Amino acid sequence: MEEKNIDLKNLIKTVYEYDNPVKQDIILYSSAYLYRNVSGYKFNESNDRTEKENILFQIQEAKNSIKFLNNFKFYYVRDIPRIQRQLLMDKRLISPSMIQKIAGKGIILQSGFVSNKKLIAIIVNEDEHLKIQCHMAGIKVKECYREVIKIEKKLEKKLSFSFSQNLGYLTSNPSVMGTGLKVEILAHLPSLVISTRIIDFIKNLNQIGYGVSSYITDSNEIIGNLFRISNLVTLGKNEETIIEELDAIAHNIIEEENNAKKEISLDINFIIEDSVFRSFGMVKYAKVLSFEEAVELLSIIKFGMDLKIIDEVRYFDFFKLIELITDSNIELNHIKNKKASIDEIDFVRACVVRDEILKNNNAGLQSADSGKMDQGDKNV
Amino acid sequence: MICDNCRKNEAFIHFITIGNNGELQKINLCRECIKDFSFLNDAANENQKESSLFNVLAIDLGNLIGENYSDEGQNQYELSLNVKENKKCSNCGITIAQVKKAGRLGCPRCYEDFRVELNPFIKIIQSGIEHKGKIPLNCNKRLKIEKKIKDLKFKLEEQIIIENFEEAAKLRDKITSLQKQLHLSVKRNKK
Repeated sequence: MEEKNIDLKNLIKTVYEYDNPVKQDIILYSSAYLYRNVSGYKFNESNDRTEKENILFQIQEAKNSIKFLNNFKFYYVRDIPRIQRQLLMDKRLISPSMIQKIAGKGIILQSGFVSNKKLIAIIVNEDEHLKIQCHMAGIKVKECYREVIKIEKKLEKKLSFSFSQNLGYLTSNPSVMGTGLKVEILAHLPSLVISTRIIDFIKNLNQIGYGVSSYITDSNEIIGNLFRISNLVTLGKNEETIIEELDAIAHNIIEEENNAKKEISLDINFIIEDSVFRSFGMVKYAKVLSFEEAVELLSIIKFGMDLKIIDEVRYFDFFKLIELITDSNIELNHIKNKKASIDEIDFVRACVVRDEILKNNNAGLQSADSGKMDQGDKNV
Repeated sequence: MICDNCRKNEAFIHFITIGNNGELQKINLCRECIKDFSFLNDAANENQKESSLFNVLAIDLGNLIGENYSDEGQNQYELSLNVKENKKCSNCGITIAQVKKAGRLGCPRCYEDFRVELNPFIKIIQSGIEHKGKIPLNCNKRLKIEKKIKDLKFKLEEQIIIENFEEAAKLRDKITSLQKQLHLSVKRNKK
């Protein structure tokens, strides 16, 4: 079990944690999800455990017979410890429901040599029988789609998927039927929020069939000016149209955000300065920080840095940092061999944030020069 | 506005009926009186097969009065297009009420069995009810040709718009040759 732990933890360290190849901090990541159901079975909404096991077995067989998937490894979700499951969820690989209901579910992850540039995973028996997904940093919608379709094409030689001539690929959730393709980008838009232009922007997105959701998967609240933008329409458009549209939206967002930032920078008033310095003060002196609060504060500090309002902060990669301070990462990297309480996690999180962003910080978890946090030998 | 029936309470629901000659009649009813107004239900029962719209309206009103009106704060209701709530899928046995509650279907067969109920809903959340994307590798040949023709026709329209007639002519020839192929395969199948 211990070996499996380490394995999984290292596997899902990706580009977000390491370097962001494109120095671009508005669109933080791109994802593509492809949903498929194996034909001849009921959907996961109404089938029982034995049927789920059968599907699992069939997909495993298919995977093993495909050379291309040789360096992918299959795991039963029930074999994965709680904290690792949490990590998978924080990485948006599995949905929150999969933390609770684990029977008959599996995950196929790349093992061995893992490229730092992309994260590919296949989830078996989540909401649909198959969810093939790829995540990359920056605007990589097309590349993500190419990865998932490559895997799907290999799989469809071995498996047959539920398909109807008129309605396309059939899924239990009618909002992903048709192409079965969801593409997503995460955008950090503090300037658009401050200039309140975001409201019109979201309205326009809705009109062309795109929706906005929170950074946290199971929450409706937008935190840290982070917006996940994805297509709502999967039927009646072909795949190329969908990815090209989202790609265009991504470039448009960057332009809008930069324009808004420019306008704000021409007229920095004391209210904006106040919120930046207030956030800085909170991060500097707070002893406990919840994840939501930390993301909120870091977003504003990052915005202040971009506008050169504040210079007491060391340069930090916003996305890399917020991915590092999720509950699961804090627990895995800093609190070892025991189950931590929420307060403990919040305390460690405040230390980690201080260490990362404060210049000349001595009061933190570790001395400021060690910088990296994933060495993992520190006990609290 | 005061209720037309009891002439005491504030009216809550406003009906507008249109007569045969186009004349409009307004009926305003309050919360209490609407419960007694069972004429809609009766009418619906009598001509059940004839007027499905009436039926839907009656059931909606029934739901409104039964569930939501008792709860004053929440007058939200969904305009349900489903007449038979307990209609079952012939393969997995899931009912339309369950589908509505969970927002998920039970099996591929549901899409056929609940077509009448589902298609209007799908039209709202998606853009149309015709798949335009990728098709599976192992589907039959005819489907593949049909899909190719569809794609080419789309490209043809694009080329005509930008007045690239040379390319358009090529595409047109491709489409006709594919259509011939399709006819041949259909004939072979019939034999």
